[in-house]
This record gives sequence, C-alpha cells and structure tokens, in this order.
Amino acid sequence: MHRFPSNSMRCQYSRLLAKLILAFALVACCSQALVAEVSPTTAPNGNGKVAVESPQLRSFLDTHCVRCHNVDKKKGKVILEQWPDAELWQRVFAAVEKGEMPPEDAKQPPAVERAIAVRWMREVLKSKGVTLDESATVASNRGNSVDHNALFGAGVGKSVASASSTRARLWRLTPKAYENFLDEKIQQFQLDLPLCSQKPKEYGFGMPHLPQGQMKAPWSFTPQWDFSNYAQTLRVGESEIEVQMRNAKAMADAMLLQFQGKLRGGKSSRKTGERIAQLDALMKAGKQAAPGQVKSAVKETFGKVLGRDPDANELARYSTVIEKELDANGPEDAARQLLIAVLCTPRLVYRVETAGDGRGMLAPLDVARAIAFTLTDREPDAPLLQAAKDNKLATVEQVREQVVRILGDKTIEKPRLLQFFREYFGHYAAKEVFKDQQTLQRLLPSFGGKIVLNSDPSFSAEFFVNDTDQLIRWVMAEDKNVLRELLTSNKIFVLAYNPDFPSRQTDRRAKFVDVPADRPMDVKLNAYERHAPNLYEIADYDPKSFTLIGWTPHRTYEMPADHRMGILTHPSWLFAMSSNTDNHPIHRGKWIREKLLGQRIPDVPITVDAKLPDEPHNTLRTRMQVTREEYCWKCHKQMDPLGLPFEQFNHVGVFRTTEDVVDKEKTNDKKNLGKDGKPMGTKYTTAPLDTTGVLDGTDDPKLDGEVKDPFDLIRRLAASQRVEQVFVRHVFRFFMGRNETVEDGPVLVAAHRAYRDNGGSLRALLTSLLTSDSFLCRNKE
Amino acid sequence: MHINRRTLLQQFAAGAGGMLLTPYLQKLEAREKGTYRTPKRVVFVMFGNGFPEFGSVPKGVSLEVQETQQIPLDQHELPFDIEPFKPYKDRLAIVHGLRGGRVMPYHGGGFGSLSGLFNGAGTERFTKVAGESIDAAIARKLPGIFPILNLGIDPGSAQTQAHYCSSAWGAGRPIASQCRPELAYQSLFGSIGATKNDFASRRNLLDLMSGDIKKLEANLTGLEREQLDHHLAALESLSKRETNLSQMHESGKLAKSAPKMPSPFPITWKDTVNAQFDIAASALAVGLTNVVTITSELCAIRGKYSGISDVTTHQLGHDDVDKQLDLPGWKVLSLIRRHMAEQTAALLEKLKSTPEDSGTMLDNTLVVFMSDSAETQHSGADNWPFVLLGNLGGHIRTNQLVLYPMREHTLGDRVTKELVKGVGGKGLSSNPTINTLYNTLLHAVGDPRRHFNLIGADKENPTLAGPLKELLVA
Repeated sequence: MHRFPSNSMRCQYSRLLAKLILAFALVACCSQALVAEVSPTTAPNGNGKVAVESPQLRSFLDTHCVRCHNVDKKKGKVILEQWPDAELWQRVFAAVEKGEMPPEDAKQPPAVERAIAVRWMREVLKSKGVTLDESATVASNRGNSVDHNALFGAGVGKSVASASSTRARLWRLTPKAYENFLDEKIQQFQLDLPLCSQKPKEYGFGMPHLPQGQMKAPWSFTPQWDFSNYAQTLRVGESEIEVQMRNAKAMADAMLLQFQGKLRGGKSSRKTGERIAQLDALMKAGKQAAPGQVKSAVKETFGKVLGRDPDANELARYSTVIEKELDANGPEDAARQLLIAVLCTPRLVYRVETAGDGRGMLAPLDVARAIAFTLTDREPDAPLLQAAKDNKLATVEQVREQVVRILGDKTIEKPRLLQFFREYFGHYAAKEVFKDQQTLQRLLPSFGGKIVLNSDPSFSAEFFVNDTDQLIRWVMAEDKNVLRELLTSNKIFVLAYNPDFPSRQTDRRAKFVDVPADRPMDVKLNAYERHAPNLYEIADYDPKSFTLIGWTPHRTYEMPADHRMGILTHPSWLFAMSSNTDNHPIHRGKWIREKLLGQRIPDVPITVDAKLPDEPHNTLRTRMQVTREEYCWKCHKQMDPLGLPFEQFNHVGVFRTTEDVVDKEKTNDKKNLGKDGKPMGTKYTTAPLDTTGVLDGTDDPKLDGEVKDPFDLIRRLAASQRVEQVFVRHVFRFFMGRNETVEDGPVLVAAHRAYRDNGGSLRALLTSLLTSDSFLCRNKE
Repeated sequence: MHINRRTLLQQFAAGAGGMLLTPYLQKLEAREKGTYRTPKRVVFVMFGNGFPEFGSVPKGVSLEVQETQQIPLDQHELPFDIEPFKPYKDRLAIVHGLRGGRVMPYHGGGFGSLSGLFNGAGTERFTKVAGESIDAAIARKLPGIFPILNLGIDPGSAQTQAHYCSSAWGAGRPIASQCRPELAYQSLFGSIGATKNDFASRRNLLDLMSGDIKKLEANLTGLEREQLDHHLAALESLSKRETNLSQMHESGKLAKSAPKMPSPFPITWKDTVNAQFDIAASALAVGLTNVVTITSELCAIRGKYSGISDVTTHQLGHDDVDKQLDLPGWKVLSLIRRHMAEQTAALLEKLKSTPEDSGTMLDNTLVVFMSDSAETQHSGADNWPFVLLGNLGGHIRTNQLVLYPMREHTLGDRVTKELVKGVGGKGLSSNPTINTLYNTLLHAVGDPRRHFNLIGADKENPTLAGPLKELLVA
C-alpha cells in the first residue's frame, strides 16, 4: 500500500509512515463501536471511577515503559514502577497520546492497545481532578489524523462495518445567521433599530461610524489556521449569554416602543409593523389579568416571533415567570420580560440536528435547515420550506433536486462557499500581518510620495485579499477544474468589488462619482492603486483605468506566466504567510503539507524556544539552517523544503531574482558612521537567490523529488490526484463541520468521483456531499 | 461518554474561585462568628507598546548591574510617565530585569502576558489559550460575586463589546474583557435610575433559559452534551450572581456605591479608559469583586489612542511623529502611560478614602502596573518592567527599585546623534522570568506554589522556582 522512496530518506520516512498509520489507528479506535469490537471488557466505561490502580494500565506501563523508567535506569528522571501522581500522569499521558513514547527506536505497542491505554489515562486524570479538554480530540487541526489511504485506498468501505453518518449534534449559528434573524424581526415589527446588515455610513479618522444602537452577534469566529466553525468545538459562556440578553432587551424595548407608536427619540412613529394582540390585551388588563390571558400572550408571542407554538412544557414555564413579573413589576415589565425570554431562544444559538433514537435520516424540516445553513447561512427559502412541508425531502433524489436548485441559482447568495476558500487558503489573514513603514519603503519600488500610512499600518492588504476573493468567485462561477484553476491561473482581478465596504465607497464607485482624496479610506485606495500594477506586474494596464472614475467590478489582467501561478503566488497569500520582517517558509510549507498533501505536522513542542539567528547579512535560507538540528529537523523537514521555493518573492509579494541582505562592510564603513560611532543607516547588497526545494514523503510517486522553483512545485501539486483528494477532504470537513472518519471513506470517494467526472466541478462535489449519508443521517451514539 | 453535569459544575465552581459563594453575606456572618478576615484585592493595569526604561526607572540610576540590587526610592525622583505615583512612593516597588521567558511579546504578548506560557508562534499568541493566567489564579484564591472583573478598551473602536485577550481559567477557557463601560456598568450595578430590582427579573429569565437548554440535552450525548453542560453551568452561575446582587440591591448597598453612569457613553480611548477605571474602583469599593484586570489595548497593537492622538498605536510605537501634537511617537506614548498612571492613582485615592477595619482599603490592595509587551513594541522580552503599588496587607516589600543583573544598551534610533531616550537594560539569561513574579503574587495572596506555569527545563532552574525574595515579605 505504501511506496518507499529509494534515497537516504528511507529510514526517516518509514518512521513517519509508522506514525501516520498509528495516527490512523488511534482515530479509528476513538470510535466507540470499533473499540467495543476489539476489546469489550478492557476499555473504560467513562464513569470516571478509577482512583485505584487499574490493572490494564499497570500492565501497559510494565510492558512498554518500565524497561527504561525503572529505579535503576531512571531515564529522564522518570520512574514508572510505582503508580504515578497526577503531575507525572499528565506527562505520561501527553507523551503516549502524541506517540512520543515509547521512543521511535523502541518496540511500539499495538495501536489499539495504545488507544485504550490513553483512554484509561484520561479516566485516571479525571479521577485525580485534572480537567482535560476533551474537545481537542475532535478539533479541526486533527483532521489529517486519518490515513489518506484508509479513505481513498483500495478496498475502502469493506473494512469498516458501520455505515457513514454523523452524530446527533449542535451547530452554533454563525454571526451572520444570528444577525439575519434579528434583521427579519426588525423588519417584521418595523422597529426603530438599525438593521444589523446596515453598512457604516461614513469614515472618520479611518474608522467606520456604525449606526447607533446597531446590534451585533454575541460571538465571532476568529480567523485561525484551521476551519473555525466546527459543530463540536464551540462553547457558549457567560459573556455570550450576557450579550445575547442585551440584544434581546434592546429588541424588546424597541418592540414595546413601536407598539406605543413611538420612536426612540420620543417622536411618534409612522410605521405600522406587525402587532401581538394578546400582548396588548395583557398590558391593558394589567395586574388583574387572568392566568388564561398570560397564556394566550405567551402563545401568540411564540407564534409571531419564532413562527411556532410553544409546547405544553414551555407554555407552563413561561407563563409562571411572566405572572411573577406581572405581580412584581407590572404589565409593561411583564410584556418586556416575555419578549426578552422568547428572543433568547436557543434557536438563535444552536441549530440542532437529531434523529430520535438510533440512526436515521434527519426530519424534513431539519434537512431543509441543514441545506440552507450549510450553503446560504440563513433559514430555508420558500421553495425549500415548501418541500419540507410537502414531505419532499425524504429521499436522496428529492434532496438533490433542492441542492442543485440552490447551487445553480445565481440570485441566491451563498457566502459559505467563499468562506470555505478563505479559510482553506488563509489568504485573508494578510490583513493581520503588520509591516512597518521602513520595510515597505525598502521593498516596494514606488513607495513614498503622498501615501499616508498612519491611517493603515497594515498596508492596504485588504485590497489584495479582495482581488484573490474575486478570482475565487470567478473560478466558482466557471466551475471547471476549480482547484487546478485556483492553484495555477495567472489571471488577476484588480481592485475587486468588495460588498463589505461601507456603502459610501461602493455607491460612489457604482455611480462613477469622483471621490475626494482627503479621506483616509481613499488614501489607502490610492496607495493600493499605485502598488497593485507593480506587484502584479501587469504590463498592459491602463493607468487611467486605475482612477476611481473608470472603475468597473470585473477588471481582469494576466500576470506574467513565468512570475505568477495561482493563489499561492498572490501577494495576499504571500503576505498572510509572512512575518513582520520576513518570509515565513515554515508556515508556507506547513500549509502545503497539511492542506494539499493531507499530512499532519505535530504541534509545536512546548519546549521549543527557537529564534532565527540575528544575522541580517545572511539570506533567510541560510539563517534557517538552525532548524536542521536533529531535534528540530524531524518536523521541519516536512515544512521548510516546501516553503523555501517561495523565496522567489519578497515578503510583501514582489517577484525577485536576488535577495537583499545587509552589507555589513558598507554599513560599518567610516563614511556611514555618525558622531556616536554608530551606523547612520543600514546598507544593503544582493545575494544570489535559491528557490529550490524538495517534495518527499508524499505517498504519491509522481510528486516526490527535487523542486526547481515555486512554479515547478505548484505545477506538480496541481496535477496530482492525491492533492485533489485532499482538497475533497477539506471541502467535506468545512461543510460537514467535523473531521472525516474511516466510515466516511465511501462518501469521500464518491464526492471525488463526482468532482472528476464533472470536469472539476465544485457544484457536483457539493451536491454529492450534501446528498450523502454523512450529511443526511444522524445517530445518537 | 457521559459526564455528570453536577461534577462539571463543581469543577467550574472550583475553577471560577467558588463563584457560588456569597462573599457579602459570608462577611456578615463571619463578622458575627468572629471568623472575619480582611479581604485582599489585586488589580492589573495593562497597556500596550511597552513600558520603556526611561518611563519607569528613576533618573540617574544605572542599569548596568552585575548583582541583584535593591535601591530605596526615597531619594529618587520618579520619571514623567509614572510621576502620578509620587504620593504613593512608600508603597511603590519598581522591578527591572525580569525576562519574558517563553512569552514572545512582540506587538503585544496576548494571553502570554499574564500566563507566562508560550502560546504559539505568530498571531496565534493572541488567540491560543495555553493555560491559566495569573489574574485568574489569584481570583480563585480571592473569590467575589464577580470572581474577576475584566475591563478592556479597544482603542478607538467603540463597537467592540467584549474580547478575549488577556485572561483564562485554564487551557482553552478564556475570560472575556468587557469593552463597553455602559454594559459593564449594567451588569454590575443594574440599569440606571431603576427603582425596581432588575436582578431578580434577570435571574428568573436566566432560569427560564436554563430550562430551554435542558430540553435540548435529551437528544444528545457525549461532547455535544458537554457543550450544553458548559452553557448550563454559565447560566446557573449567572443566575447565582444575580441572586447575590439582588440581595445587595434589597439592602441598599449597591445604590450607595454605584458610580455615575458615564454620559454620554464614552467613545474615545481616553474617555473609555476613565470610565472603566471608575467602574473598577466602585466595584472594588462595594465588594463586588477582588480581582480586576484593565487592558488598555487588549494585549495587542490595535487602533489609536483617540482623545490623545490620532496616529495609530502601531505607528506611534515606530516613533512616527504626531503632527498635531508636534511630538515624536515615543513622547506620545509617554503621555499615554502617564494617563494610565493618573487613572491608576485616582483609583488608589478612592481606595484610600474608603475605610476598612483599622485602616483603608488601599492597605489590602496591590496594583500591578505593566505593559503587555515588555519594554517596547518590538520586544525581545529581555527586560519586562513592572511597577507594583500597595503592599497587600504588608506582604509585598515596597519603597524600592529592584534591579536584576542587566547589561545597559542605548535606546532609540541609530540615526539620532544624541542619546534622546536614555538607556535600556537587557536581563541576563539566568534572571528570573515573569512567571516567578506571578508566583510571588500567589504567595502574597496565600496560594504558595512551587512555580507558576513553568514547564520542562524551566522547572529545573532553581532561580525560577519559588517566590522572589526581594519582593515577598516572608
């Protein structure tokens, strides 16, 4: 099943493989069903009562650890002959779980045995009061733990007994979906509140002025290396609840005001929104209201706000609280309390997917919501709801019909698709990387002039991100060889339209109105417009078209084919994968290893304290020699040789043929020294550029070998079937909201086939995934 | 795998410093029983862009020291940045030469600033929560109705409501900073001008929400159930808090101590800082909390110090000139730190005017005045300066400048011909790290640990274990 490279890397490579297989086995064993088959009596049952020594664990230590960690040898000052204390257990647990122990050259425990031992250790730690972050095991950065061949190799699906499905679960609503709901209510009741979707009106000092009283979702998904919105990994805590209650209160206040026909300032409102008659009645009746009146109010409020009736339990609980409030603080507060309570619905926090007892397909309405939120990030549209009501989401064919309809309809916004690519490529993190003025001045040829960087320390990186986004939109619209196009196209959209910009900018653009250059936002635009042509090396650009007057949303140019190739050579991606002062070959290599080759780089050991040497007269490649120490190299060899070809560009994304390094002699030359004997400025010289790298250990014979430059690297990756499959794995992860397991193998194979058979179509790929068992079925355990 | 929610709750309660206790009522009861002990309080005041030597070392003191030195402050003049601390000189300890250790404070140390833990490379350090932070560790020992009050200021951005940036109960369990004073005010003191008891209504609402979440639980198992357990624990702890506040409201205690609600709501960095300090002082005075953390830039470089300068915080750190103020960046930053110092001094003044036992509240308080990025914006963490104010009931040695062994180096741009900013210090690699200072604070509040968040090889280094004997009164 595996092919070994024939060079001297063989030994290290086989160790890596061993780890991968092990990792696979570990994940496989985490599935309750599988472990139960293997060892029904020895696995812990999770009741946490193992304060005393467990014989299984004792025997594991005796078999695999004590040979070195005994009283005589005391290796690493660790003795495991006695039952360890909590602190030592934590270290043992970490080492065994990560596969660091037993050491590589020692006999390894069978994967299943190790997995069970790890589970026992969890129990021991729990019984000793150590809190473990259980969610870490299902975190998005563990996705590649499953061996690729277990998913796509020969005989997939035969080795696994159980069919693919997803556990009954919760999704946290995205901020956008949360705000969509609030906006719907603001419109339904015609409230005197700004819509959450309302754009900032003006810029002052470079900052958008948001409308007064605008509500925001209580949580945000911060950009991170791996996918941010996984169903299982998100938690709601006190601060989220508080914000949720504040929003509900603001809404309730606005509703009561509107019912009285008033605006926030006290003036009367001319709008007529929906009313809740029973609530009016309750307020009129005051403290004398009969219990039945409270119940009717609860019922109607549920219906008007949530679109459903309360069940008996809800009706009773809500009515009791409202009666209490009515008694204590009077009718208006009671009405407010009721509105707040209903607006604090769990539906605004979670989307629940269950299948009753056992394994089964989601109920029609849940299928409708799953499709809608997965693709459009909002509640189902009318046709989808109708299909659910008519019980026309009960078969795969019926589901396919709806998915194809939504994917094919250009008028339906599908923000989650772009979001996937943003999180996959990570180029949008370019906004987060600071470059200081001196660096920019040195690296950007035409830097200087009238640019005011005070308004934007991060050098307008957002514009470059938009350009990349626009390429993604275009490739998605074409829907042909999607991944290959994104990796190899030298097309670039300049000054792409960004719907997130404040309305003033876009309005004026759309109307071709000249924008005075005294606004910081526009200054940033000017800076971008001056640099983009240089960075992209667009020979045929017309300077006039770069004025705001000549702006159109789709301005495509061809970048020189021997200088640029796809997103990995876009300034946005290079910027995002750079540090404040340098390229970041490690991150670039890590990205390729994980997101294209589907392999896992171990977490940075907590003991790593490495810094590059302070040798500005040396090239980055030379300075990075420090990672070649044996301790570092075992991980870095998987990253650095894949990232170093991108030395072809400097760290703001300019194509280069030589590398600038500090000229020590000239800098310290007498002529350059000030009165205090120190250099007055840094002098630079050029060093020859080395863009070579190595692709190895990829498990794909066509891929492995020396790499000449980034273009050679990208070309080979883009042609690889393995890379395509890893892409499919990532699409699966993002849209399913969880990591793939061995049971998902057949689903992934089918999805990949759909992608291939349809000429690299993302729509076909998504249709296949959204009609799969993994997407449609839920099981309780 | 099923986890008993009760067990989890107990864990949380322990984790959050016993938030289920009722300190106020306990105090009354303890007084009656004669078991009352004076509460201790710790306040962390953090700002960005570094705390340079010229802003924190008295003039004329050399940083070139071979051996650890303790210099009395009496005869020395405080530099401009911390001049507002002059009235508290006898309660002041300035510490130089501590290293960042594993923390990389370049552009702000993120969660590492208060944990002393390495939490990843690059921007990851602003999001990754590697372990317990010192303010949380102290809050566990000094429980209050609000176990910890985290107030943040997102410079120049009045839209941010809450942000995770500085503190955490443990790995993956960050504590949010409340960034809007009016919202922080509401949760602490209730809505403005209300005669009725908001807290009781809120508690009923929270209990109703708990009921809704419990209904969801029925169909879920394992991790998904844990997600809801976490949610429920948060709801229940909030409910308990509202119960406590409700009792305080009934007794009239809250109304007496609530500060004035800021009006209009502050927008600029400067006004927001002032409002947050007001709220912190009142919350401490009324006994709502014993641990406060104020972060003026959320442990990173962001926005601008509006109200003082309209140049971005990042550019100021790069010494760009503020043309309106006609000052170079480093001088503007001095103004920023001085503003923070003034606000801190005002807080001390308020505590000093509040009697407690035979003295004042100040006697039992400690303020840790520090930067989230060591001594400068692009710091290598060779010297992380601290100013400690107050002695925490006599547990911290004050009226001294503590210098750990350092080498001196010239500060400022090399192009500049004269020594504008004075000298800086580089602590030796054998010096203690900020972890050791934090451990000292734990010793002072009565939670002596062998070390605070030291791991691996660090733990073996004897100079890093235990408290700093220069600071701790044994």
